[in-house]
Amino acid sequence: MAVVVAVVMVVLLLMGFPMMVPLLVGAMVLLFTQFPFMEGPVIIQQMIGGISQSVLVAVPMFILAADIMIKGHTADRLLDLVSKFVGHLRGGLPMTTAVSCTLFGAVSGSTQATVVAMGQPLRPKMIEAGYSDKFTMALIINASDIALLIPPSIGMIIYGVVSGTSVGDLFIAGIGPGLLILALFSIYCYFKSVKLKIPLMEKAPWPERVTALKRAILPMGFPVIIIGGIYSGLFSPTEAASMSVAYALVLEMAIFRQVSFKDLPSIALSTGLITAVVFILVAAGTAFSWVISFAKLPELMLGGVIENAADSPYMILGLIAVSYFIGCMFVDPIVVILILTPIFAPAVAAAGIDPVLVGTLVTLQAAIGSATPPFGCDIFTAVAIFRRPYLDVIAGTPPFIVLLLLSTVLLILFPQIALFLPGLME
Amino acid sequence: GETEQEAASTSSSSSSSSSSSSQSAEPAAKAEPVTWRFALEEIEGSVQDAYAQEFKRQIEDMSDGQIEIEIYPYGALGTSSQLTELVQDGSIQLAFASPGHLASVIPEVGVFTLHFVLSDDNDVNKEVLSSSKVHNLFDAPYAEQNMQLLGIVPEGWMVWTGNKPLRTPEDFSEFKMRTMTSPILTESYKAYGANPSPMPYSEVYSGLQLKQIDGQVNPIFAIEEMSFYEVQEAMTLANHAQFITTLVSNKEWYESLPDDQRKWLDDTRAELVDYIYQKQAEFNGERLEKITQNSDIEVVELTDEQRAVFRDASMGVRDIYLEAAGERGQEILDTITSMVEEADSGEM
Amino acid sequence: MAEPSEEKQAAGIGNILKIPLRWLDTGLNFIEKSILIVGILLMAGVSVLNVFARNLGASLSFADEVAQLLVVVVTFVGVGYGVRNARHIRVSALHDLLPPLGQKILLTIVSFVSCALLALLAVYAWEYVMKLQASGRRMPSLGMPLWTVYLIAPIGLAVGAAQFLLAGVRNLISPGAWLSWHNPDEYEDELDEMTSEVGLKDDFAGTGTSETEKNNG
Ligand code: NA
Ligand code: NA
Repeated sequence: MAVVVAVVMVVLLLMGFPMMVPLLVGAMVLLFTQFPFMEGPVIIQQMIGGISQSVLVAVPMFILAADIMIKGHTADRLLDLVSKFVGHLRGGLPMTTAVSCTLFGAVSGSTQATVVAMGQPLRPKMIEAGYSDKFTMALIINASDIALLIPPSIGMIIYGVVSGTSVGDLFIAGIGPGLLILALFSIYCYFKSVKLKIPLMEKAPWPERVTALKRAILPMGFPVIIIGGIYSGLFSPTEAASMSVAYALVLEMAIFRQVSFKDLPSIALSTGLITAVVFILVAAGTAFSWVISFAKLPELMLGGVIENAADSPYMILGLIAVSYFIGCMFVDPIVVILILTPIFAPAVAAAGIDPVLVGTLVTLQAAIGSATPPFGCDIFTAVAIFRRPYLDVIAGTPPFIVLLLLSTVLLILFPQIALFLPGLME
Repeated sequence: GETEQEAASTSSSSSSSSSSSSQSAEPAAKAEPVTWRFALEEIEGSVQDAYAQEFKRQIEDMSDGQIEIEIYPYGALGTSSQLTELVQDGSIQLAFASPGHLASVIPEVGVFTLHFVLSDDNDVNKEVLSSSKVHNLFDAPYAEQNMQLLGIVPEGWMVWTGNKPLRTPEDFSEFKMRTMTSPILTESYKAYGANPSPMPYSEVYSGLQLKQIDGQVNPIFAIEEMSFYEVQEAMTLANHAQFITTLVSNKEWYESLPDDQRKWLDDTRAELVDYIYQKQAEFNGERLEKITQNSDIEVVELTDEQRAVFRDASMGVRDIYLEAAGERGQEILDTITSMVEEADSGEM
Repeated sequence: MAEPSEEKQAAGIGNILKIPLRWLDTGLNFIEKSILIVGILLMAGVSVLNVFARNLGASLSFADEVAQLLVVVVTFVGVGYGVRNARHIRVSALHDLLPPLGQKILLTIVSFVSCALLALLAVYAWEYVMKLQASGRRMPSLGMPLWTVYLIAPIGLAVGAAQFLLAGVRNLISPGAWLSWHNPDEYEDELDEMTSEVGLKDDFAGTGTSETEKNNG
């Protein structure tokens, strides 16, 4: 039965049904065939329950903050700062792209918003400088995924809630791997630039740099406020999302005066729409995972494998990496985290693996999977924003995926990459 | 009651599938076994799990395999209030339902979240809470929600943890106390002078660590399970309330059970009264020992005089309960308090 | 494609259908937008206020509850709005490979099947809400009956079903493939929809003209 349902779901997905349809059809078919005594409304109960978690409030709040920053000056100023400082290096422009995406990821918490905010202004510049469009788009997509690892991170918040792990610790643990990936990407950019014989850009004179720095000081206050606020006990990681909305509003409305009250409805509408289309998938994903959990399917399918892996933490971490990676290639990371985390939790606990490490690994896989064909959701964002066919958008991704998989292996072999910073905080 | 396992935390959906398959494969000399689905508000290894496992053992034994109990630990089937809804519509047969959320549909059970209603002596509480007099008072409110109350199950004393011992209401002044979002609970701590701060269960540890909140209240087993003691200076045992849950079944299901099955069910739950009182005491004792071994947290037990001050301060909150629970609530409160008083004075 | 004569007939039926539908559509669209905007801004307002309140010594016990309920409201209101604006996340890779007629047929099937599914779910949601009403479950800190807010679930799903129905009808009565009543399945339009300042202009008039162009062409 499970196989039939899986096939039906994939067929529906490929037919171009909105993703909620295969999830809900799968849930309902399983429910009515396996548990004829259950009634349909239980699906609705689970859908509503799935989105009624206070931590999920952070998602729309991060998207709202990012929308305000894109509408205002924050995004531009960050970009300007980075290009003034690294633009002149060998591979400077792609490095600027990578660093800017990381930096915007650090203030916004949203991958999609990062693709929009940084991809739109940087792509023409890259192409003008002589980089291929395929490389450029792949770089933007993958560098934006660093946003998932650099705090604040929606993926980590979701994982933290589902697994009961401290979101504060997860945030700190993501920084190391995030910077590692940034470094690997920068090295790749360096060689790409050498290979393409891209002429060096002019070094920005210091007065210009100082001006750029001054202009970027307030936008760079986001990570300071978020991490500082969390660690001084002023607010929780979830509330940090709302506080960054507050900060973005103060900055863009009162200080930069780029956003007016009249702009707020359209910004909020955009946020509301994105929230809704993501959360209906969270709702449908919850209903689906509830049914398979009621049917005890995860144990039946993964139980044996997990049991066999139980002796070796490396095996478990590897299995986790592969499962989440494949899951995120097909479905939104939030849904994957919601479904898979409870399944692996017992094995993680039994093997005594640090849940913070697992959370970092899971988030990294969510990042890779989202940028990986066939269905990685970042690819769709990029298709939409860059107005290029699907195949062009994915053409340049393989080297980046190899680098990301390399960082996965490094993270499993050297957990200190993630755990070093949280260790320091204690 | 205040524990809740909102996050799936260490839960899993594995538990009890082992015994069922082999039996159903046997040549059927007797009737096809019936499955009763039993959902917990807590994870494996908890007091509720201990209850359910023993329940399963006894009833499967008693029925000679005609009844199979399928146990779903927390996280497998949803949040606590969702479990209650599943019992109400007959999707599952048995579940634990604790007052923390159940009071939003059955205000009468809010009595168990009130402070200083029960005795300091748990033997008295056992006698009172398992008496048919008390059970009968709850029959109608549960029946109105299509549920049958099968047992009132204590899981241990609620314990305050904080960045300091909490001996007097003055200690609670300006104190950010994490509670569940229930008016009775928030008003109780307001009455002591605290600033009650609701927060999701999964964020409490980091909230305490980062000093976003100063303290929280939970039974000992939860404090150990969630490692709250690692980030707190003191535990105060005021014995102000027990963490209580109730065992419920679907009402129509219960009433339509064949006589023999209902007898097995009734016998088992009666058998388990002593078992679970003993088990939870053991359980919380072990966990407390673990806490004191693994940390240098200060453990403070309040004296009768100190408790009396809190008791007086808490009395006003009963009006909030009575407002919600009405005359039936009044009768329940009066009955329990008078039975407790009687038993307490009888023993003195 | 179908015979031209048949097509004209279908378009005629479509025009009769359009008149009452336009009223409903414009009204619904306005209400949905307003709820999404107010929902998101209120969510931000309540959460921020609570941070200040707690640090000043008086937590708002209802803040979390309100924010969570708003998430539910925004999600279900967004079901219909998302269908209308063709914004629900879907995998179009295979679809993109098909010839135009194939795309049209596929989208017609997708629209009607999705309509049926959402309609069924709307019924379930209604039953669920009625159960909640019967049990009288209240919001823990606001004390209001929970079903009053959850009523948005059947409404949102029903609106979503209606929008899918419209999309299916549109595919039958107008040439070309349609993701929704308003959104033809064209690269450019889809792209515009997905940039961040989406769907703000009331595009009914705009679509109307492009549609006449197509009918004439
Ligand atoms: Na981020
Ligand atoms: Na994906």
